[in-house]
Amino acid sequence: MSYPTLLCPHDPALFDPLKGHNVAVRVDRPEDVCRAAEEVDSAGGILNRIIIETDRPLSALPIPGDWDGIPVALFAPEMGRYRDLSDTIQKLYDFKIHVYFPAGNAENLVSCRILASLGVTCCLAFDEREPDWTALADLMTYAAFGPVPHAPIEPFHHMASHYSPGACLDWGALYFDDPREYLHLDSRGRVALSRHGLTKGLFIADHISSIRDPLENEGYMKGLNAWRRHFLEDHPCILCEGWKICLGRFGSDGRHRPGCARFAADTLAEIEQYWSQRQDDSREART
Amino acid sequence: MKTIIFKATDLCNSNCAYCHAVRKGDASIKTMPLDILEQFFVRANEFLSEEPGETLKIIWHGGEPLILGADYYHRALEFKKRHCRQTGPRISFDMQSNLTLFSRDYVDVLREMGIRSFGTSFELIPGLRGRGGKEGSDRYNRQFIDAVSLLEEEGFSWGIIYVVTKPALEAPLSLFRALTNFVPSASVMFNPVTFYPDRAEGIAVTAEEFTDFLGAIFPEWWRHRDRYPGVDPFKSLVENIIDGSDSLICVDSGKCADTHLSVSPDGSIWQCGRSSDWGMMRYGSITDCSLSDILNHPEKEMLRKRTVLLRDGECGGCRFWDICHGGCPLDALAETGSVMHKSPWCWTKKGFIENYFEPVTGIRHPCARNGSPHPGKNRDCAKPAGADTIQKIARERREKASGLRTSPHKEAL
Repeated sequence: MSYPTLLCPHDPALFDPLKGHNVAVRVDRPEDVCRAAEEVDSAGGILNRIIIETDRPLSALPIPGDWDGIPVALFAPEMGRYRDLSDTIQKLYDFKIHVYFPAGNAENLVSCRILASLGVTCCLAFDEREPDWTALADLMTYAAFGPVPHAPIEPFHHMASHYSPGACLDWGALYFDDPREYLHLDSRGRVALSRHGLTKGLFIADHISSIRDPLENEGYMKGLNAWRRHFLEDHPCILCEGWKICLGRFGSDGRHRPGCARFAADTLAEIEQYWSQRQDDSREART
Repeated sequence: MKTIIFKATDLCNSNCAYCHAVRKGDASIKTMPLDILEQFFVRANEFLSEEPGETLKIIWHGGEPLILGADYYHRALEFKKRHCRQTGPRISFDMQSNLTLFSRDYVDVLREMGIRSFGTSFELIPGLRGRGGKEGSDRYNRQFIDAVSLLEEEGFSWGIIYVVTKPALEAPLSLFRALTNFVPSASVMFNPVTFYPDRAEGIAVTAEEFTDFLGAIFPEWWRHRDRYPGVDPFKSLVENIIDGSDSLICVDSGKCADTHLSVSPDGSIWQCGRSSDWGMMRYGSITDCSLSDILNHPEKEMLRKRTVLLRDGECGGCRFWDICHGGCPLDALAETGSVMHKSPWCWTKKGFIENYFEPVTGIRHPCARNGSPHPGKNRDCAKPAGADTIQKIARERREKASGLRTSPHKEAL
């Protein structure tokens, strides 16, 4: 396996030891995006993504022209007024910006559809608020199987394009929450498997230099298949028909939600059908 | 191919409630000494030299084979290289392990042995696997999860043989979901727990109960069979009944006399793993018999005669003969005192197909394919019931086969 991307706070002092590594940086302010990208570059890191979380609506956020070419993950609470987006929309489309909205706000499901139809990649982030599962199912069908051209709406695009029978589908990396893809560093350089691990102080190493091969780190190995821990806890999710495409991620902090099981099962059924159709199509193409 | 269930040790780090091995009496030799291990490879070479068309599949079994340590397997490979210079390529290895002792130390040697997948077991019901009690189960399962994570990272695959016990009968579908969610490849085989002659209270299941357990799961499996590609006995039955495959596991093949042997730690040679655990059908010792001698042992001849006797007798006219052959002779021996009877588990296959498989799939066994019955199958199938369905499904399965994984080895041992 390749070494995971190192996700760290915006502190140039942390970047120096990351030479040659893939690096993602979490910044607090939009105006720090370019500077962080330059600092990673000058430290010899390979920029994976700049992550910015804002409490302002997307429409209220300035997108400067110098973001062009910088991969940005932009977490906003909502889209805001569409008419205020007129200046921004072309930049969102042209630049490498992925927009993240919380799935618990029903308006965001509509916003995702609008932005995706305009060519902007959108991701729904599942947090403590329970989504409107029916509306989400509609969006899933549009995102994964809708005939109208549109940009990816995650995690559904990933599910539809990566599904394979006989395998679980983990889409945590879309949200920087998969230790195969991302390791998280705190301001002192300590290493955790996830953002949750960072906030809880669950570190697997005091410094990245002590993890030459992640597979030799016991904490890392335990974290790789953390989803299997559900089976030790007699968690209700382990009986879910849609587990293979969810792995507990539609829940919140491991909690089981009443509506998510039906949603996950329906999503799995649709994705299987899509997979089957693609198999038929490729067979037809071969013959 | 001859399959040898190789029990190099009777020791185990677990004490599972339904395991035969832990109930074995106190044998003086718990782990095979290296001189007997070496002698085995001498015998293997001798046999393969005499039989140029033959191959040997050696399944490391136990006890718990990983309790032996990596060095033991390095020595085994040394002996193989030393004594099987010409015949070595015709020897392959597999392993049946609880995996809880798997570590990085084993990776290289297991790869060198050509082992790519493991048969193992997992249990969600507390108190059945592990050292005992819920605490024992929890500890066991934590170790198991760590081990399979490492196993997968190192590129090995694995599949579960799930032993169906009385507590499992309470919620078959939930259990099925949990197991197939736990094993990404959905490589799961359901086997009934077998206890002879003392059926353990609270654990043992009857043939009827096991049949109904399978029947509760089968409609779900059939509806989503692409989702759960490796679930047995369903997958194998579909292959036998719909695809016309002749491949049968040892208990159903009617040919175990010619295909299976087992070696225990003291070098004794037995009919199979079960017979070794039960102390029945010992044919001799690796120290004074060749494998050819063993395969021609008079008791082996008795097993061959059993197949003919049952076909013309107890099982005469049974429409499931070609996929059952009277079942496991040891089950018959344990239940009736003679191998010359059909297995008491016969009901499971017959009852499951009649009550669940055929009604759910709409396909009757033996079925007509392309308008004619299977070669060698009963000719009393007046109407080729489900012929259109079967052809359609068989075609779909053939077409999809290339896109699906095969499951790791799973063999009734």
